[in-house]
Amino acid sequence: MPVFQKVLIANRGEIALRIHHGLKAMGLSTVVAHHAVDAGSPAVLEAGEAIELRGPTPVAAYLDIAQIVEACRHTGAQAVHPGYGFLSENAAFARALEQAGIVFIGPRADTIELMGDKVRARNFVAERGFPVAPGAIEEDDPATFVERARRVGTPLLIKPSAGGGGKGMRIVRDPGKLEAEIQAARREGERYFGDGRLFVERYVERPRHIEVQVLGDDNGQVVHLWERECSVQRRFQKIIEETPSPALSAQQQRDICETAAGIARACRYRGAGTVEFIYAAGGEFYFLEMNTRLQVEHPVTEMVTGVDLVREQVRVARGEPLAFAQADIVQQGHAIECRLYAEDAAHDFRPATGKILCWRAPTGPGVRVDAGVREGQAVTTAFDPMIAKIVCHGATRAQAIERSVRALQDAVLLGVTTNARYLTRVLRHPEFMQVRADTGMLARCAEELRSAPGDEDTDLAIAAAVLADRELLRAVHSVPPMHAAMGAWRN
Amino acid sequence: MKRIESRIDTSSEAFRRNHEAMSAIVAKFRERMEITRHQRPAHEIKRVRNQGKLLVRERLDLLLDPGTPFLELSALAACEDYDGEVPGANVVTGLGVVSGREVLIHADDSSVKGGVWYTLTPRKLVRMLDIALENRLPVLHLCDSGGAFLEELSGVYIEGGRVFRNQCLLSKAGVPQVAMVFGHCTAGGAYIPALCDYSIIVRGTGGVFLGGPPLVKAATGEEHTADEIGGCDLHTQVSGTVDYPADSEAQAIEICREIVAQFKPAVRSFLPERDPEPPYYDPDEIHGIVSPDHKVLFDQREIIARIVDGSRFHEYQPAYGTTLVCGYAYVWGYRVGILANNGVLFSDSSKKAAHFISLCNQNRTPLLFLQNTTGYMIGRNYEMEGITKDGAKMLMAQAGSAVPKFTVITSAAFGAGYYGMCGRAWDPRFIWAWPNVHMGVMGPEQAANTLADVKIAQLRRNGHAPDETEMTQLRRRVYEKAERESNAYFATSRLWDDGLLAPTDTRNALGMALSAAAHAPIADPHYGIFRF
Amino acid sequence: MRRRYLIDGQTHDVVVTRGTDGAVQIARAGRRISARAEPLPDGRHRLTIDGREHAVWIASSADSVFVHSNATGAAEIETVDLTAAAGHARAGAADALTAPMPGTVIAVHVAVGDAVVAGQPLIVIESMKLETTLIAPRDGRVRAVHFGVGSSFGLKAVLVTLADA
Repeated sequence: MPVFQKVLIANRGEIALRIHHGLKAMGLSTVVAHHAVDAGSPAVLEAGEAIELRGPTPVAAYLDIAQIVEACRHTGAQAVHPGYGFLSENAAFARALEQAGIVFIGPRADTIELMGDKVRARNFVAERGFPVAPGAIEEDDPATFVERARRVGTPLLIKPSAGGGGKGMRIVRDPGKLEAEIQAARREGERYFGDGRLFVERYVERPRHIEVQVLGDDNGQVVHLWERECSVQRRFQKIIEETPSPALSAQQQRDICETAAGIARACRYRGAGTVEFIYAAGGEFYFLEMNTRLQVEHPVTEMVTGVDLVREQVRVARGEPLAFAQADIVQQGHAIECRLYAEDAAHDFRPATGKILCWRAPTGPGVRVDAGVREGQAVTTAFDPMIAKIVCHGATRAQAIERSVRALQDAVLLGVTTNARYLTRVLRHPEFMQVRADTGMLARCAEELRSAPGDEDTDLAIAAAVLADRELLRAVHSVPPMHAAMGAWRN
Repeated sequence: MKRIESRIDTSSEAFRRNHEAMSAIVAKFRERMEITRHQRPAHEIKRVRNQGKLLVRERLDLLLDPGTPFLELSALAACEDYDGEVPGANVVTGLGVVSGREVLIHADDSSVKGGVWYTLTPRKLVRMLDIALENRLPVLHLCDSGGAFLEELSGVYIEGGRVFRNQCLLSKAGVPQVAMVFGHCTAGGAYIPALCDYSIIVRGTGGVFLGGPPLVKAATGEEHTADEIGGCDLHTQVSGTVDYPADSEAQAIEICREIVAQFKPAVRSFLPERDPEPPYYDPDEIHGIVSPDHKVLFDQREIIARIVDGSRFHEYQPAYGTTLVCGYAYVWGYRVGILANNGVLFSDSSKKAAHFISLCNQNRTPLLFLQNTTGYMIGRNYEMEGITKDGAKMLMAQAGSAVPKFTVITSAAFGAGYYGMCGRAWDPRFIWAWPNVHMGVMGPEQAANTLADVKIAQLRRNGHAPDETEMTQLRRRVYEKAERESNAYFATSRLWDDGLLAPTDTRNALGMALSAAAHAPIADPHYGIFRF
Repeated sequence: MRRRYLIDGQTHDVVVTRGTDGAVQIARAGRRISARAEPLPDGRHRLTIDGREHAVWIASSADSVFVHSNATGAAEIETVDLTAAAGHARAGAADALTAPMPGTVIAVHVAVGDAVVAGQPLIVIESMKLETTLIAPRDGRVRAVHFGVGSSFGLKAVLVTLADA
């Protein structure tokens, strides 16, 4: 059983901080590996130790396997937690650590490889009788791919085999455009993932995106920690997630969660992972992909089940068996996570940059904020624009929604434009409140979700700008009182 | 302090007749002001625009602090001269607030004949600079002139010198001046920015030179553009004649505002002593109180009641010299000593005036003269009483007075009474007349009759009989000339006052004038000999 | 006093004058409000606008003010320089980079045709044992470089000519 006392966190921002807190609570010491641009971030400041990574760009630094392994040697870290993104689903990284005798807190390398290849994963799942969407895989027979794709029927989704997280996908509705779209998708796949292989799947109209959190130990024991509803997405990026899914009946919930657990069991999954499904209006669901890492939206699961997933990841990595049985994992209440992004909802969500001049995280009963920013920090386009996760728990869905709205209103972030108000408009939109949201909701309701600042909002903004301008106030008050009282009189 | 109890019956026939007539006079006045200020031929406006310039009042809008008052001086200068073709004598002068500071402004109006100077132009500027000197007010010059009008050279030549002399004296007195050069400063005009503490020039349109291109070509044969001889870059980079280059008029004005914002705060010799209070009675009622016929008397207390704070007035010597009302009141919170004519000046009223003037000097109270006088009383008995001596005492008191004085002529100003009540020659800080005013040595009728009588006596002495028709024509000719020369517009055209005021504007004008006057220290009074 | 603000892509021209009791009057497009601010102990400010109170967070950067109220969320208010827009702007005569003193060129950082931005170093000169780097007076394109490395020039010599980008 591998024993480790010091863990190197190969990530940044809010997840690095959250992982550090989890590790610290277990009595472990932490090292945060970071690029210079994150030197002042909360994770780096709070961690026991920090070590700088260098690279031609900040992102490149976080992807530098050799450097990170060297950083472990240098600091004496015996294990690495990769967070999400970056190298968390990189099998080569997992192997490199293994070879260096460092524990990778995550699944085995071959599991990562299997699930990382979307085509292999799809085949693996289909062969074992789990539901997959009708589709066609290019690799099976490249010559007939286009024909087979056409037979799948439109609407269909073209996906890169090496992609993931919603990137590089295209929807084709017009069969006449199929070939052209396939060429374009191939070029994109080569450009962004270094791999032009494709597969296509039938596209479910108005689908819900439902995923299931699973946890497995070295002994083959697997439990699920119920599902998460992630349908509120903009351009395939999740922005609001919740659990339990308000769209499922108890039976449907059990079905989908047990299917996920079955898939995890079938690949002898070790560690924390998420099985993602496309859920159709009629109740059918299809395997989409499996993410072999901790997910951004894991806090909602933690809040309703009371389980600390980072803690469980560490225990499993230490070789310990799961401490609970399936029956022990019970959902209490409802949790919603809103992703606060540095983006300008009024201008097509273009990324916002600036310096964080004021940051006050919301507090209150049921409110949890995972944030990795501090005042004085510059928000740039070097990394993805997520600033914080605002997660609210309530006894009921309605209460969770209300608490989320209030938390978003209370959250103060000045200096960079965020989507906070946009999120409150989504939460209050009838489609969301009445559980009619699917992955197309935000695009469909874009007009209704646009903000319309009233005169009084503008008055407040202008008054604030005027009253914060000391030079202006000084000039205004320098006018003698009698002349001010006479106003703009002319003889 | 008690309120004046008004005895005016606003429903009376007399009130209504006066109100109608006076309102019409004021309306005519406002219309004339509007035309003088804003009416310009379309081709002139076009020319200004094509040059890329702003109009003079557009510049003032950008320069003055928004939401603050502007008291324009002598807006109708030259209105009865030069066939009325030179509105305001081609310059705007006035008292306003820039960056919180009270300043005097001179702005050339190049929308009329290129803003050239007629004889009355430097006279108007000299008057404004005199006000600046007496009150220690900073001056801002907005320069944009075509130079002296070539057909008025001799007048401009002599009058113009005093403009520069006054600028030098202002500098000597430590009073700052700023010039913004928007157009040309030619010949003498070049000295205006050169004599200022700070000067700004707009690139492309601004030019400062003793001789412009035609003059230079004539004198030396050199051919240069105005910009080459004295433009922005030459003066701000090479010669150091001008301090700040500006890329636009708006930028030049912004630089000026920033300069003024740094002036040392004014050290005031007196402050308002109370919170201001609007008059209790409606100032509009003044139109019903004053008759358009200056021979009709009215009680000036009723006027006072419609100008001062809360209509409150503390009358001094209420029982003595009753044709002159004296007393204290507050205007916009400033304490003032008021002298107002309620009829002809007699010995007792003259003595009361001299006494009250010295009393106010003793307690450093500014003086307000509300003139409505047909002069001192004449007649044998009055001479025996010493009316001439007593009038002289009043003049001596005027000359020895050191507190700020302000004069408003409300209806008539004839004879030496005009002097005694602080006429133009007696250095009021500001002097205004209402548009219904008539003034002169004597009234037109009196002048006509007096001259006719003298003529008749002369003819008789030489043994001729006076011809009726000739006498009538003589009377009419003298009357008409005197009438024309006694009306308010004639006087204001020649800068005998600092502008005509609508009666209801008097309160604000006084408030601004008092605040401006406080910028100068008040010396001790020092009188000559009073013939007792 | 006049200000121009940019909020969410819309400009607002505003006139601020002195009000009574320490408040200011803000006038824009036919609206007029009275406003004052007091600091609150928790770092927020109480803005009173026409008698209604709002507790807000306010922060400032070089050109912008940011305000957050629970009711309206966050807004960014950018101040726009009025003098650049108003009046009749005349282009600065900044096409020629002239020598501030006689000297020799020791380095040239740009070539003909290069796009440059205001402030960008163009040429380094040496004079009186001092090295001076001369920068572009405005954005543009290099039209000509008149002196090469090693050449000497006199006072006010035109060293580099710019053109519009």
